[in-house]
Amino acid sequence: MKIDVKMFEPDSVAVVTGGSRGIGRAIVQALAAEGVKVFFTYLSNADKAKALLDELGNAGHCAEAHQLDVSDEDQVREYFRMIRKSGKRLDVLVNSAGIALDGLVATMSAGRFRKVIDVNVIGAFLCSREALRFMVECRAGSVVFISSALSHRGGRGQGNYCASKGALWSLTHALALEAAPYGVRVNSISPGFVDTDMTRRLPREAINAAVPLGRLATPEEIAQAVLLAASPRLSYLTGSDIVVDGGLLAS
Amino acid sequence: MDYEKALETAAGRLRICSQLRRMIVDRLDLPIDADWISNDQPIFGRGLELDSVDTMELILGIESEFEVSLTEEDQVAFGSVGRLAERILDDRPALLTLP
Repeated sequence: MKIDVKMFEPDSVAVVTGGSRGIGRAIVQALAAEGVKVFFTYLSNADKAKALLDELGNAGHCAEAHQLDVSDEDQVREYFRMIRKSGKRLDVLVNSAGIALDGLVATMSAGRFRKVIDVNVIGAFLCSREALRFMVECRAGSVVFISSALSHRGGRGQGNYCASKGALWSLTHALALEAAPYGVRVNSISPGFVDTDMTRRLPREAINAAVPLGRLATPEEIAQAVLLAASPRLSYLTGSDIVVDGGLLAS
Repeated sequence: MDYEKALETAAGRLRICSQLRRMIVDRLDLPIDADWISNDQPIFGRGLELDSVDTMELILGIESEFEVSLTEEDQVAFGSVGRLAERILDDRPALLTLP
């Protein structure tokens, strides 16, 4: 039996945090290509955000970019109020904004650890809280957290990053239970090693040897997993963490 | 405070309380007339006997109608309709004079 369901309904609206670069950028591009109106945020990469907007505009896609510090409660609240005023729906939130500040736990300052938690966890919580308030009203929606396969296996020198990403798939499980009665689905994607600025300085040969598929993922490959998790096509998927790592965790 | 200003303030408060009472009845589908709820009546426990699940509906309603963001830390405000109105006006005093 062929399931004839579009990826997204016409006039769907999505918010992607951290959408100006890396995985977030690929997610914005993929959603826009599916006809979704995308609001994406950036913190300091104004030039990259503008370049992405121009690219999407030239392709006839609908998008808006806004500077947003996701760890700032007032900013996040005002941002989502703006989203709500701009239209009657919010179908998808992708919490892609994230940072890494590597270091060994034994020598790490509390500030360095806290900063990563503030952006990666508190930021995702604040955005999800505000988006949920909108989605619950509409009795529909999909929230996707970008976690990390590293949070399942650990990474030396990445204690703060792993802790933050582990918090996200844990939050996914709890939030999915809260949101389900209102028709809102919540899932997370745990990418393995992805070819972005964050992994540029990592030893490529060692990574390629460790990954069964023998290479890093492209941001576009991760974006496809996000699209599926967010799409109404997978209407029964909620509370799940989808690992997209080329077989890394299985090895 | 001059007399006219005081009247305007009182009228604004009454209007918000009225809006809140209607919102409570509509959003929670209560089988009562909104005017039967007094501004001092406890919303939770004895009184309207709403529960914590209803809290979320009220918080969403207040966000939607008044653009005021509450969390469970605003528990005291949920003591009565009057207290909720005060809490809303703390965030948005301009609501007193809106039509």
